[in-house]
Amino acid sequence: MTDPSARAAFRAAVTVAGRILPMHYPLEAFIAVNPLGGLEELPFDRAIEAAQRWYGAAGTLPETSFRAAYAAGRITDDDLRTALTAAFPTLLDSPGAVLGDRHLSAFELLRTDLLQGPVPPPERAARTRAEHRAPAVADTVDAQTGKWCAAFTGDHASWAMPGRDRGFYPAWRDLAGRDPSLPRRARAALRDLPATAQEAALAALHRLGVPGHEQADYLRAHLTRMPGWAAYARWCGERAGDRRTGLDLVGYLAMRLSYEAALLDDADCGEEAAATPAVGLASPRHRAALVASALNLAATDDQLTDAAAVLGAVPAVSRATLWLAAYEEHYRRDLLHTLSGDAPAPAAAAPDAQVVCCIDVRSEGLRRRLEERGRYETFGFAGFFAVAMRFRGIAGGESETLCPALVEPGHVVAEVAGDRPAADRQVTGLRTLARGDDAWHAAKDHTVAPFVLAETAGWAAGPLAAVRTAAPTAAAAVRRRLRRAVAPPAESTVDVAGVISLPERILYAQAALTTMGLTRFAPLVVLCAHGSTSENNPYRAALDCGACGGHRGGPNARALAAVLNDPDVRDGLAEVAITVPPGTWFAAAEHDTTTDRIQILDPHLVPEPLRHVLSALTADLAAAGARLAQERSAGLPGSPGRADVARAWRHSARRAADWAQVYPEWGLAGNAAFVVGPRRLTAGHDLQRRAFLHSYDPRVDPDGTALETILTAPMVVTQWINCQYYFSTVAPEVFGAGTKTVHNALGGVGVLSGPGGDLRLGLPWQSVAVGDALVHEPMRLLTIVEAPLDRLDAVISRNPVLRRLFGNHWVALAARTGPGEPWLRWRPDGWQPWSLSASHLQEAS
Amino acid sequence: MQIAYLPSYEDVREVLVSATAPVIVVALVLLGLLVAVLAGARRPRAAAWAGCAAATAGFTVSAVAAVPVWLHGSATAAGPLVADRVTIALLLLVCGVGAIAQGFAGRYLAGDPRQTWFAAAAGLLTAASAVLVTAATVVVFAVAWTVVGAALVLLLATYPHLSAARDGARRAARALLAGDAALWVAVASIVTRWGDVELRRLGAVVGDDPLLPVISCLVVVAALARSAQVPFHRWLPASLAAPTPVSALLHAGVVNGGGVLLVRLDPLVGRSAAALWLAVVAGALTLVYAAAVMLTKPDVKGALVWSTTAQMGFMILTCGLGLPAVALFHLIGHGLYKATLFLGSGSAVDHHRRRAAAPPAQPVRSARRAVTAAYALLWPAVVLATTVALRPVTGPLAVFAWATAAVAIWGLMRRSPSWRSAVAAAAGVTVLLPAYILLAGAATAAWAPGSRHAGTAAAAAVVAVVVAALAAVNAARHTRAARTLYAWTVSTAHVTTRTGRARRTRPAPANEMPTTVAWGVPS
Repeated sequence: MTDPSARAAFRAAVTVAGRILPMHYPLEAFIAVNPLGGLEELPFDRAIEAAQRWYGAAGTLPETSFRAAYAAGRITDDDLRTALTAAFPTLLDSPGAVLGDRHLSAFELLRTDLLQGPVPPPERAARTRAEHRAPAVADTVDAQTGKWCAAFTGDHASWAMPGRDRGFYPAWRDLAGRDPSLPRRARAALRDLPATAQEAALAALHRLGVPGHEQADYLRAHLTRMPGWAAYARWCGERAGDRRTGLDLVGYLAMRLSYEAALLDDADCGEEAAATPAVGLASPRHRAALVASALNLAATDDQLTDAAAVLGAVPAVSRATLWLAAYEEHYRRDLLHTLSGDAPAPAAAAPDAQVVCCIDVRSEGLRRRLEERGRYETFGFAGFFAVAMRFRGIAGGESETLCPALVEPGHVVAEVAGDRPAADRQVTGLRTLARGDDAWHAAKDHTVAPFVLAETAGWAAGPLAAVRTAAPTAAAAVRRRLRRAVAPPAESTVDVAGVISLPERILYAQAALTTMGLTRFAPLVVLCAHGSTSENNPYRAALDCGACGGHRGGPNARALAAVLNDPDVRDGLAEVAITVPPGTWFAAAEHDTTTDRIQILDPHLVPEPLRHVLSALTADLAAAGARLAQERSAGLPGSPGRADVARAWRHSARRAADWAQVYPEWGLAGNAAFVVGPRRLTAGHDLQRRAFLHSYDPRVDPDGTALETILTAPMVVTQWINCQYYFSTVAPEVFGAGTKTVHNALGGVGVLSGPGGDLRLGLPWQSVAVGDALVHEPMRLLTIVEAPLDRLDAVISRNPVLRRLFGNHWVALAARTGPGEPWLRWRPDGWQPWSLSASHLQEAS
Repeated sequence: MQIAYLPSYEDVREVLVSATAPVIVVALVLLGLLVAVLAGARRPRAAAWAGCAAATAGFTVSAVAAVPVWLHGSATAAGPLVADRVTIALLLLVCGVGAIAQGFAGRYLAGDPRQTWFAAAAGLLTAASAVLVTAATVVVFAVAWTVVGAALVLLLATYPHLSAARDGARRAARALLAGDAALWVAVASIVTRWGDVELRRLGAVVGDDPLLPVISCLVVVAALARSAQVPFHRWLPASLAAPTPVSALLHAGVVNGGGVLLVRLDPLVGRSAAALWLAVVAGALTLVYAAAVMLTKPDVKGALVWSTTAQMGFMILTCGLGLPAVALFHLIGHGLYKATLFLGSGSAVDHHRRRAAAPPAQPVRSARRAVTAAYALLWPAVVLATTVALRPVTGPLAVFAWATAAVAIWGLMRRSPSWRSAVAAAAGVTVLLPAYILLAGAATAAWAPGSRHAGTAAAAAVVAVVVAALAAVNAARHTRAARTLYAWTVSTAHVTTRTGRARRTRPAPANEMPTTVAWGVPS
């Protein structure tokens, strides 16, 4: 028995060590996270250095890519100059140096160094004992980790891990000693493990000779060896009352450490392998010599010393972040320049209809295309429409959590029948389908039954596979029709009033309307959620609405519409000075982002007088969707390119139905900015579906509550999405899921690459690139706000999360008070003008 | 009146029935391969398209040829390839699966730097498989056999930067090499004794040679290695680090090689009791072991791999029991089934989600459960007995058909037993079970008229032992005592890649990145 203080210290060490890990949410409800979220306390460059040290993961694109971007004009000298000035304010004022017979300015020196300096590859510096002494043992520990974690967490095995209900460590302990693949002595050692995970971990640390003060680092070295499983263990451990609990970091580490201790005792350890000599970063002098030789200048020793003095001010490790800053600067300057143009004249007449879309970057395209078509006003708002709920469909199965991960859902909202007999028929049909599925699985997952099943089913499956491959759209249509024939969809409503009290509903309504600045109402207001359709795609949830926890947002839109159409709620709103005209109706809709079809939900509820407005809007939404499909089609592999609208429209439907399609759509790839302000700011500009747009009207938010909400909730989620894409792109093997083509799904938990190994984190390569060509430009988020600066300052100063994100350069902030004002850059020491330099502006215009 | 310049039906039939059809098919597939190799470096999509088009054309030719071949039997003309009822059916499978997998890969591997590699290797695999299944003589067969193996190893090495893929390719190469060595020794012995014998004349020439058992056993060893049977079972699970269409080709095609070998060399192997028993023992062991492993696998592809291994055990077992036609029926059905499941394996997460949202199961009282179970067990037995009484076509393997029907009924009803579901289940079983028995009977009779019937007591005993073992495994998983068995099963079947993590530190080669960025800001 170890003493209590050692145990407390160990628990603290586990918590500290675990902070470096991302959270891995199960794939069935993909939730974007910043893989380095635990390091947000550090400035961005220090955080990526830590990631490199622990994981061996790159934190930016390789310098070679940036250099190529420079060669292609994607990064210009102006961008580099701005980035250098921002990081080293006085450096460019230094006189530079003479090399050979040429005088080089400080900028020329640094630029040549940026373009020519040697590039060391990232290397995992933290190592476990096994990695040092016996790499084969480290491999075995990893293999065992993968084996038992998969066995414990996989819901799909028909022979579940015995003792699974007792938790991970007890179940594993019971089985580990019976594992014939281990040497006899190791097995014996594993049979004698203590009863609790904590004791086992402490005993193993003792046998490995890890002193107390090194514990946290040592545990971290173990956790970062297989970050996927560790991240999932962390997620499991930090949730209470879930069916997958029983796994946590203590149990996970106890297993790994016990294996390591048992196997290292047994292994024929060679010499303590000398730590691989780190590829040294070049000294300033060496860099100066490289600059001279790159420019073909014969420099003397003294000249090199002078040049080295300039170069030495920029450490070699900072080069990548400098490049990144320049890369971002180019995009940001263009964007801010676009947004500082003259605002289009505000629409004089009242709009025919208003459409509220999700802040998702894909909505930008839809809003732009819709506004082109008529008198429509559009808004951006988080796609869960401020209704944080669990939702149970008409079938009455398990409920889904439809809100961002930041929020705890307060209510279980159910879908209820509009017409009882029709709904009963639908549920009966759904049950029949479930029964068929049960029968199939029962026979498939049995020992005696699958043989005749295979030889019979195969004769039907073969032709079916051929049709699905050759004519995916037709195959999907037939399947859909069959499903509808068995379970015809019935009219239904979302029962909000029965679950959420009136004062709370009024609060929801008020918060939603003031946050998005929607206080003047058209006769028809459409709340347009979004979701995505794709076949055979484990990452489907990553394409769904992030604000709805990786689900389709339709139910949330229906719920808020139900709240806002409720006369009692409207009475309540009138008391807080929001008057919704009695003739106004809120309708729900859902935008399918793969096909760009927009479906009005519950059309039967729309009052008769508004039907003609609705049908006009539906037609315009269809036309806008088709244009958007055509616009998107250009960038998708295997698409007809800039085809005519009808062809692109058909093609998008085909992509959604195609089981062989690994790029159903680009999702949020390309995201780089978050714009908070009235639509006037962005209207009429093609932002290329790269910006999240959140509506905000400073006039209705005098105390800054709405602004505070927007920056601390939607912006934080946006930043997670941005970082998820960023790190999946720059470190695809550690923080990304690698290529989809070898993915092997593990129930609803996640995917493996091939037969086993680590659980994959992040997004697959096919979400951010085509082959070797990046589609997502990995840049940190730029938040653009149009609001009074003092209000912004107040909000930032009272929210540590914002100070952390802006102050540590995870997110950049640009703001202006109102139209016509220049854009300012937030810095910890005050606002500075964002220079949209003359040369650049000429170029852009 | 006949128009002179049009070829008569008899002429057409003669061409199709003769060895010409398989030659045309192979030539078409090779043409596709040539286009893929030539065009692939520049235009990977064209390569993928050519492979798919060639396999589709091959399938069409085989389908056209299948009609007269099926009606009139095989040609007598000698050639390297032969079209008869067995070979043409296998040719349809090879071309069909090749077309589906390559058509699928055309989109699945779009933009993948290895798309051309896949197209070329898949074309080679399809061509070699087409030769393999239609080979007329032992040497042609053996050459095609080895090329199929080589093409498979190339396919498994599609992603050489992944250590798991390299490991998979290495393991496959080792196992296949062992099998090929056995086959080539057997073929060399056959050729030195009787020359390059035509496969269909094999039975007539071999006689009672003293070396016959040895040659036959070597052939069985080759089949075991190719079909991932014990003790060569470890390469198949390691093959998963290749793109999904490779798995489809592998599980629908290559692993069936063992069955094809035993079916086509049945005139030789069928004469050696030792070889048959070797196949029976290895097949039965693999069947039971792999079925147990399959139950423990939580990952969708892992479960599919071990399901295949078990199914291959079933196939080898039926060959060992002297039922080559049954094995043929099984391998074609299973090949299509498994190819489809692999290609659709990405829907597992979605499927998980859909199942959770389905109407929940209602609690069922134990008495009602017992009645449901009894009904599930008895009704298929009644249907089966009636069918057999009317049309005595079936052997001891019918017990597997009964089990499938019983388990399916149980699965159908357990969510909420009701009269409606009972009637639906009864109707389904009453139609499907006899249909299956009659169709399978007809197909096997057509493939092997007058073949030995496994009606012997020994066969029945083997089947009884296997089914008992499978049922025991099925029951054991619910007991506490199963811990040791579970740990043993999970651990022995686990694939360990020895080379640690693969790291690809550079996502994009510098020279390609900026020119193709879709969102690039024009500057």
